[in-house]
Amino acid sequence: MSDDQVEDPTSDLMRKSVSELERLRASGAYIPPAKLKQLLANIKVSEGSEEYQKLQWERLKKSINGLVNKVTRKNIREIVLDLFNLNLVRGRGALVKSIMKSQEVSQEHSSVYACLVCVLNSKIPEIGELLVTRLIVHLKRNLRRKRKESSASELSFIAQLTNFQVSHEILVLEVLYELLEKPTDDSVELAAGLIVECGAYLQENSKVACNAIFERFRSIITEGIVDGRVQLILEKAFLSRRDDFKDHPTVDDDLDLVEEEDKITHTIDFTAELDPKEAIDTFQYDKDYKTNEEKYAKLRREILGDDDESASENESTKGTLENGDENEE
Amino acid sequence: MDFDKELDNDLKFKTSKHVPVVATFEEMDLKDDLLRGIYGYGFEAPSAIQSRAIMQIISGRDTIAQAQSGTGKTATFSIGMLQVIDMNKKETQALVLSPTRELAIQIQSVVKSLGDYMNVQCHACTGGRAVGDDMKQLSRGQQVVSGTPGRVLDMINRRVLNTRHIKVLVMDEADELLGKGFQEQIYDIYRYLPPGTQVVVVSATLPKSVLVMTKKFMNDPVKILVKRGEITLEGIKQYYIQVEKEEWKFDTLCDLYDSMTITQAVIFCNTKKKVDWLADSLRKANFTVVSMHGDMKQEERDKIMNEFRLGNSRVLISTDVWARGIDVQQVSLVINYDLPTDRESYIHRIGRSGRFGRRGVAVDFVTNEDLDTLHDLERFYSTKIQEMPGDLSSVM
Repeated sequence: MSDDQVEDPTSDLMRKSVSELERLRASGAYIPPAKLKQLLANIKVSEGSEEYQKLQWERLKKSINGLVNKVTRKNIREIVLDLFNLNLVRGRGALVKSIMKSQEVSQEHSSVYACLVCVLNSKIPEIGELLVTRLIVHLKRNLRRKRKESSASELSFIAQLTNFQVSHEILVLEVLYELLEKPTDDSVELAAGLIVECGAYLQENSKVACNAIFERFRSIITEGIVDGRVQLILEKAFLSRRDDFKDHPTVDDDLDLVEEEDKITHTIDFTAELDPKEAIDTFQYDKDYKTNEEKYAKLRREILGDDDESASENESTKGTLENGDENEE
Repeated sequence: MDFDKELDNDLKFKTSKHVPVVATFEEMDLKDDLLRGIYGYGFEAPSAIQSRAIMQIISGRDTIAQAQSGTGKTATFSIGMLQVIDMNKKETQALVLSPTRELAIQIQSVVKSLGDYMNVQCHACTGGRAVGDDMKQLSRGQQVVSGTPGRVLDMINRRVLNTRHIKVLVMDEADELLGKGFQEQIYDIYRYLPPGTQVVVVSATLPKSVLVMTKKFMNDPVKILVKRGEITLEGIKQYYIQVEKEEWKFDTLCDLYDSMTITQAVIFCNTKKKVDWLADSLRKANFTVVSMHGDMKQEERDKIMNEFRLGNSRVLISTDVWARGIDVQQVSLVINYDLPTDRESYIHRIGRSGRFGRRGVAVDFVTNEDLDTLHDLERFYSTKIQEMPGDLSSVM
């Protein structure tokens, strides 16, 4: 924090606080928020400055991450409202990053994260697009490096995003084709996992292609290409298909939150060279900061309802959208 | 549920001589349906403890298996048991005893999953549930019974649980079971078992006093042990945060949630009152949390555990009652909101994260008064608990 960015450099208390903060930051250790708050209370930052934007950015990033950490199957509606209150256009990189990290360590809940993205994407399609793009980039890298666990987690997410129609099923078919082109134990296991997780959806929307994949599985079994364990996995996949994938419903009722016509589906080519836009995850100085914030405020009003002036008050916005929901029904 | 092989390889065993290591489940020559169950459960290759102990259990020898939390101990004895059970017989052939109800129920669910293709009958027999239910279930014939000592003994005394065909007795978390609270019940149960019943003793920690006790039950047991030094939970990163004052803890907790990726977390407090207070405060901050302490009724505890396991709640707040053996795959973070009052609890608490080779993180909130306790823990476990770095996202 340099002196020209602070309003009153002569204040003794402030100078002390600044140097204390610098010392703590330099030590590399975590600063408990209560302590940070105490120090920051003594430091005035003017609104137009880069330092101000930086503080706001940190706050935005944290709020997004905190909300993503709170999502469960049950509270998804409330979390979505809280998220829309934050500038998700500015924060979309951080948002997608948080969601991807959460899904990666919590694969069983891929459907919950896909549902969250489905809702956000219906209003701000850049979010779904960025997520699918990054998933593809990561998946390709992990497949190349033969990291099965990570690949499986990305595939699970892609499967669920297909179920929620954030991503077009063509992507899944492209990936399956790639995995089965030169079948190995790992690639076949991954393919089986992928097709089962979005099998119900493929069966309905892409039956011919789905059948072709299972034919390929059959020949892989008869040719004895894979080991006993993977054969068992394939057998399980066939059983699952015989039961119409009833253990893997496309979308659970309680996660079916977006109207069919509001869904926005991205078709992103697996084989294309893609830009994951990693730069937007970090702080960028925005010379039109105020205008962009106002732009988002306008968008937020469109999403959450008209009389949403006090956007920072969670309680009131919740009321607004809940009312809006009732009106729709 | 893959093990972190690198991590697993690092484990050092102080084991009886001539215990072979079997590298794959296929080589164990298991029943086909059991093998299916194992793969169906998500296992690929046996963990260090599994590759050593399963075959010993199958061979019928008395076995002592000591390994740290999250290395696959429950599956070790479950697979061993399932292999030796005669599926043509309906009688109870294996009995598992554990110190807590939650653990007993969890073992039942592991046995059921692994034995899914075998159609094994496995009953959880614990206190806090209707006796009539137990009697009904047991009269149907349960090949495996997983229970807490009190209720199991009760069922034996009522002659509902027939011990005549029992081949294996497993004592999970044996240090607890053989401690003061349960000792007599265990002796009583043991007396009912047929002579020559195989005894398997499993625990994360096995103090010397307990090892001495096992001599009364066991006949020349094969020992598969980890050295005490190693039991500090490799694969779990330990950090402390100097929160300085008690009042600063709560903000710090919220800040962690804003900065790290947390799937599910367990937060430990030392008192029931604190648990309730923290749960309330977090709910006010829009968290979905559940909380648990020793005074709760069984049904309530089951319900809470279930909510947490399903992921409907992402935060569990608890006193030490929960700390042992319970295995929720998703727990990535354990927070000691209060430092534990005794040393042994520390390892049981932080062992909740990082199970099955997943890398877990433990964070200790330390007030100025706690610093000595922290250093004491470091010394006792000869481990280093690092100060939390400023860049929290690098931690998880």
